[in-house]
Amino acid sequence: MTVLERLPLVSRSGLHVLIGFAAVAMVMPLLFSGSQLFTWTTALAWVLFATATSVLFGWTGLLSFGQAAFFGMGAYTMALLYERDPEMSGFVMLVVAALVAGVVAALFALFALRTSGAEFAILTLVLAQVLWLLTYRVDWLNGEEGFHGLFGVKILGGPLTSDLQLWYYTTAVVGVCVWLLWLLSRSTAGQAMRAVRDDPWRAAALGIRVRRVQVSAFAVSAAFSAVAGALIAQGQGVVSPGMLTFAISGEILVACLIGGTSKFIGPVIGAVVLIWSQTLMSNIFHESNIFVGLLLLVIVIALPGGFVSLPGRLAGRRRRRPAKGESAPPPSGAATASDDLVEEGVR
Amino acid sequence: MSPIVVLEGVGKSYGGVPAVTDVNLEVAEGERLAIIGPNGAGKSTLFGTIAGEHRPTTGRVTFDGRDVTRHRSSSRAMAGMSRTFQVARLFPTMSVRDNLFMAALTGQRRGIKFWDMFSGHREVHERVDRAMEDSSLTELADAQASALAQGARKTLEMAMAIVQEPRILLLDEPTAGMGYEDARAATTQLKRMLDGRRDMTIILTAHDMDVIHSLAERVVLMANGQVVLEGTPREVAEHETTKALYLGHGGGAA
Repeated sequence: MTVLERLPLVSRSGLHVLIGFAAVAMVMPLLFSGSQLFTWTTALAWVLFATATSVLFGWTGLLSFGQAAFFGMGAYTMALLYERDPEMSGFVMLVVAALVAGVVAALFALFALRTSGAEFAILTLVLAQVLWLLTYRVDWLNGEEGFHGLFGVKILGGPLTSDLQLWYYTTAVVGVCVWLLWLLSRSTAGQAMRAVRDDPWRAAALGIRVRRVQVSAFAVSAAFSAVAGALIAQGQGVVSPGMLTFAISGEILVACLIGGTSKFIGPVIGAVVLIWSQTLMSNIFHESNIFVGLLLLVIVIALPGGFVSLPGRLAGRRRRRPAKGESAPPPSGAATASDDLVEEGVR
Repeated sequence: MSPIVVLEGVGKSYGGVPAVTDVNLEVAEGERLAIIGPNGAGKSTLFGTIAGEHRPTTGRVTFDGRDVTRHRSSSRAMAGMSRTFQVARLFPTMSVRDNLFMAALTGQRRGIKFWDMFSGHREVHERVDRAMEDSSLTELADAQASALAQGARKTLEMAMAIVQEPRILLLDEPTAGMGYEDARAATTQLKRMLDGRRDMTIILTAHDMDVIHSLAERVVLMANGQVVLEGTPREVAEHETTKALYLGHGGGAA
């Protein structure tokens, strides 16, 4: 991928991202099948969810404890659309889910971003909890029962009938979405998000509209999280209030922290590690949360920048004594992002 | 010459305590003005009301004929006002080059777009390269801003403000926190960066008389939140009021 990235056409258009996903799509079915392939499918949906969360948490430096709100919103949107019109194309449903979540997020952010730091994080948590409660209180959301039978959603004329079809479909959707997010990360808007995270005062003094950048980041993050939620709903065939719980919001932040957010690929790695450790541990020990918690603890203490900071750390260790005048590489990624949360936002 | 910045009866108080009261000031296009005064005289507050950091409690701020009293910093920046801070503010996780790129891009009033690739903008990148040469930062192009030494941080911030090609450049204590020699070097560097930009209006606050003598044409002296004296740097430096103020407060390099 790095060699490809050096070619100007490839690096401009992010072709290597698409090629990477195409390669993964083709190779995995040769190595895995059945429930293992299904775990990979789930992991890929979480790859999208984690990357979308990183837009907010990693790039823009806004901590949200309510990402499940949008993940669940995507799933419920798809379920409601399917109930209304089972003939509707799944792709249309994904687009609608993204739009609904994006608009709701933008409206919410306009209000919530009057606060910053911990207050903002709490408001996002409140949003997710309110939506979770609504699934029980609003009749047509079916409470604990939720929605079933989403296997039937039509893709290119018919429902997906095998794990393999679901796999190809999920990789295609996730591949395109992650590619779009990659382009965003290389756009001036993506750079403006980093600028706002690094120093909102400096950003405003340059003429960047800080609030607008934050609201956009929130909306984009929500829209793609909703697509991930809809993909999960389709893969599992079921939508339930569980998708709106704090456990989901917490897990996706864990995925970002494990992978690290200083590089685009960090959350991708984090999501795969999270889903596979959960699956393997619950298969072996019938319990995964303790293990994931320990993993997070080890990462946060021993590798604060997540897995993506590992190569830099190893390189740093090799040249233990830096040349005169050279300073150690400053910490980046998640650690920096959370530092900025302490900083007061621009009024 | 028409005034580019006009302050009319500008006052600012914090919780009823006045920091600045009834300041009237006109700055002509292309002029280089220094605001000086002992600590607590209100120069930083006044500077903040021009830059958009503080909203005045009374009075009006006009920039280029438009009332900008209620405009945020970002709007003022887009209208052609660039500033530095007393303690340099940079994007710490970005390289020197990317810091300058953000400044150059936003300075062009191009705005920020989702579909606009960072790697494009050849002419912006060229301006960034030139800015790095002018400010002797070329060698540090790929260094992360957080790894820079104090002097380089200040230089980078000034280069960011200048690369925006603003109509008015606001410099808040350009040599604050520097030792004597560093301050001299920084002043020389700043003069060099401003070479050939005679049309750029400059307002700066300073303690350091050397900076004022080499950069400013006109000086306003503030005390207790008011302008008490105006004149050329020499006039103000030699005036009894200035001497009394600085000696009276036992501080300042004047």
